[in-house]
Amino acid sequence: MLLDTNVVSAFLKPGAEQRSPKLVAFVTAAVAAQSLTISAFTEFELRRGVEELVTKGQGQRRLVALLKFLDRCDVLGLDGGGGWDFAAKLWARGRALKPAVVLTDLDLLIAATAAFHRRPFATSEVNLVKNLAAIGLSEVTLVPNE
Amino acid sequence: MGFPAFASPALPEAAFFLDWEALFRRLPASARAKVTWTKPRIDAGLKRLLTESVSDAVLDDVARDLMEPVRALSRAILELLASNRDEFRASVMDDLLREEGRLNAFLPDDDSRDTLAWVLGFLRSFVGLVMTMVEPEHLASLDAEQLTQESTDPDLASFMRGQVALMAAVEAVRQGAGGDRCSTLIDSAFLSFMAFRSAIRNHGLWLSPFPNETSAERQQSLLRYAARLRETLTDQDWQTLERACARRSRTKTGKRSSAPAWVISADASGHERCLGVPQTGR
Repeated sequence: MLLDTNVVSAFLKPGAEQRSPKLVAFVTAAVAAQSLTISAFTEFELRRGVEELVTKGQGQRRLVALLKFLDRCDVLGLDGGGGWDFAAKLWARGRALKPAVVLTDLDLLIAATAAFHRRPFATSEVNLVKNLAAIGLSEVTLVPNE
Repeated sequence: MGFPAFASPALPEAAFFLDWEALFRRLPASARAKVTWTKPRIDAGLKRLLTESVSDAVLDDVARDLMEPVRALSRAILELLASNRDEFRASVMDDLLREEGRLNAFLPDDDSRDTLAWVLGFLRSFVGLVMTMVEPEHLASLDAEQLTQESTDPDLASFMRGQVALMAAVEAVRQGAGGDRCSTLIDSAFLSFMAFRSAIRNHGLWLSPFPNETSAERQQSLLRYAARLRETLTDQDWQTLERACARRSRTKTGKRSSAPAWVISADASGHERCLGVPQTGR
């Protein structure tokens, strides 16, 4: 199971157990079943936000905390073996539909990472689930942020 | 196995130092006399890290300043130990264990102790690997010109930053400096060694600080770090992070999800334009 950035973010927010108990239970079960797997693009998204805090002089300890967490995650990318080609074809498949399905690059690349590595994908974004289904990615779980 | 281009043979020299004064004392008088000059330079460098704000710039400065004296000390100890590789490796590992105990007792919180465990675990893995790849005799026989060339290696620079931050943390313990400064230095060492690990990964080498960790232990660590992140990052921090993650899926017709991250418009020819990313985020 590869988790989208929105799922990981909700899992890591202050008071997540109270704010999003179902989501926390889902992620905890995913971790227990295997590990916490994310895309390199999710790592990039989280990392750049914390780097912004570091740049503002607010973040060395925050960065250390994030990196220790990420160090225990399995991070998958698209390099090697045709991952980028696969993502490009997905993008084109969406554009060829009528009406076209155009995902943001990060949505596309994260979902493509999961599919390329034959992992189910979990996201909290309803529209993303629909759009991914439209381009043929059906092994997607919607994890409500609740 | 060949030695990757990144890892100049001089690299492991830097790994032998945590308690540099103990190392200094371990040298026979004749060997110590040759490296007496290193002491005031190391003292001065570490003093900066104990008295000034620990910024990247200061850490870079000190790492550069200490490269030569640290190497000189390393060479002295390597010359002594080159004849017995197993003993050498054992002594390095023993040093790490002893310093870990001292630092652990001094650090003010579990989070810092956990970071220290990562740092020293990484060093153990690195030194253990190097010792299986490079003969100490080779390290000890490197000439000054080789060392000078390697001193400009950016990968080595990140390693040296971590090294001097750790040396300063040990010095902080010795001097009874504040635990918070010690924590900051350990955090700096962690970030530097993470950068070094990423650099050597580009050469196909991956080192785990916890090579014997089971899957269950890893999962427990992950959940513990997640809980720690919930305590560390505030709601205000998450506003910044969410802006960094801002995106939404969309269709060409311009239909958007309820909280759009991208504002799409179409010009007269039907081409889409991204007008911006609102601050509401994801």
